[in-house]
Amino acid sequence: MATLADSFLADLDELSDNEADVLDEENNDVANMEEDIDGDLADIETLNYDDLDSVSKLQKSQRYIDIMQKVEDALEKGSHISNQGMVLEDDPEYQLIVDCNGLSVDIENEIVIIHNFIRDKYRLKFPELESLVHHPIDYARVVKKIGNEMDLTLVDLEGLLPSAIIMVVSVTASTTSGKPLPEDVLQKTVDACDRALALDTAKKKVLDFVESRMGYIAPNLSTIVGSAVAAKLMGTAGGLSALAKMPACNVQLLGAKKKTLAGFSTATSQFRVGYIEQTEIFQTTPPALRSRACRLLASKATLAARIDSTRGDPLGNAGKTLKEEIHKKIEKWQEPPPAKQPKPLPVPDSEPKKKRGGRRLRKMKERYAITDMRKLANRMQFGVPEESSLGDGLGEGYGMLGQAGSGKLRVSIGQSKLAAKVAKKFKEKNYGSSGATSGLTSSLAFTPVQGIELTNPQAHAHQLGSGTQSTYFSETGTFSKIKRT
Amino acid sequence: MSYLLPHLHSGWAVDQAILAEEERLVVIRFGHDWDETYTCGFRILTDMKSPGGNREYRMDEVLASVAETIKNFAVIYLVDITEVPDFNTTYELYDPSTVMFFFRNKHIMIDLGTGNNNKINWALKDKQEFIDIVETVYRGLKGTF
Repeated sequence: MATLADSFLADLDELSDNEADVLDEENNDVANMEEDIDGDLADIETLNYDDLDSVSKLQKSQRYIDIMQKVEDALEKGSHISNQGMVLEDDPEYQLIVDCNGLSVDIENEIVIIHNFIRDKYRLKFPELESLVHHPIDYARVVKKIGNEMDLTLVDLEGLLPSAIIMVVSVTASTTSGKPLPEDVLQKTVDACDRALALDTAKKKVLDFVESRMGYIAPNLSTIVGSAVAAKLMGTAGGLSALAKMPACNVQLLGAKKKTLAGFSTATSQFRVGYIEQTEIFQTTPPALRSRACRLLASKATLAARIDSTRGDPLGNAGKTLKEEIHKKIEKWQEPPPAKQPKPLPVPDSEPKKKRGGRRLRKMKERYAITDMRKLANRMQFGVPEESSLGDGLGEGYGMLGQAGSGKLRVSIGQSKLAAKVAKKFKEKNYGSSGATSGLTSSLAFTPVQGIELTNPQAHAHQLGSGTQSTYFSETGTFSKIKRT
Repeated sequence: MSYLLPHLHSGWAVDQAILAEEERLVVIRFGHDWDETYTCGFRILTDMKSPGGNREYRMDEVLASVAETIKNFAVIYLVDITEVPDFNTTYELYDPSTVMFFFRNKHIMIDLGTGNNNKINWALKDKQEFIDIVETVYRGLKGTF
């Protein structure tokens, strides 16, 4: 778009501080903008900050003025009963509501722009303030209150900010690197603050109006979440149909605050809740169930919004049913679990024990298995009296322990079955020299298990084919099971 | 606690009870319901050192609390020996509380280490101990059918 390209050019010009040129560009821009699409302010604004009006055009725009006028009139008139027979879209009030929704989004954007303006101007004076006070309206109020004052003890910020933040602000102000602003800059800044605050009040008015008409616009949605929250949701989404098109997870997050200040506890901040947090249903659920309740509310609210956007149930009955459903579900979550019934014991041995098997169990059993030493001690040779610990048949008998003629009581632990299998596998892996050998290599291999091992180089040749041949009938295969006595 | 368990009011009832059960062990306590020091377990008496010895007062209480748990393999009855004196000589019921086990019309003997294998003639305090005894008896019997 021509205006966009122009505005980018204007940025470049602004960097070189060529004001006159830029102002001309600016005026062209303004003219173009108002010619093009009335009230289309979504373009990226130019970055010339000298003139507030060039940045914030909304309040001057015709659209804004018209809608605000209508809203004021409507608010004075109070609520009136809508005509029953008319299709919603033709009703002028509905049109006004739709416009109001769009306008509130625009006002939001405008406030952000003005906030940037104020921030950039005030940076010279108090740069740290922007990171302490995030909310644009609060920032504007604080800036207005502080003005050009260097000593913050003279400034009373009560009521504008929570006291913790006031403290932080005062402390930071005492060590700030800012300098007082020149008079005209200060004036512009204060003007911008006023503008922001005015926009904020306008937005509130618009929202109040929408809220009062909410029962007519979206009866089902207002039944579930209440008209204030419904108005806010609609306002943020940009209209009832826009709200209806959103998935429920997005509806849940509409209006969610993003940042918490670093250094302040995040334990109390609730995750992933937006305007839904302000509904009555949410506030009355116990804290433990709140996240579930939030999801439930968001999904039912989305359903209601969809019904409303197609005008499917003008009386609001669907909303009532959904609300009942929500209440019932939350009740059910809060029920205590069913009382524990004392179970009678089963008949003994009626349920056979589930015996487990496998390698793990075998290894466990090995630890308590009868060792060879104990086995030998348990047996006796026929006709040969056994030796005993205290001699002469007193004390524990040694059985066959000492008797193999060796005179030693010690018996080696021996390898368990599992260890034998592992050792065999390990051996077969053949860490010795394989295949490609030169004539100078020997058949001796140094293996970790056996020490020095003589390997048969022919053995490798058979190994390759072993996968296809059966191991049961193979000539080179071993016994599959050897019992140890 | 005695009101929680079924009573048998005549010798015939006792016989019928023993004959009726095919699959379950029949546990019969011979004694008196009102024998506070030995059978019933009113808490007031726990603090008083009554002359009968207040260690032995909870038999009925134990039986009542255990009845639901072992109902799959045992059934418990109470018999008042003044009301039903028929068995006093045959089973030598001279103690304040006597518990005997029957299965399929047969009296079961248990090695309790007391020398008397026919009955439990003291008041058990421990529920688990009693459940273990009954379970052991039942396991021993399982092999016979």
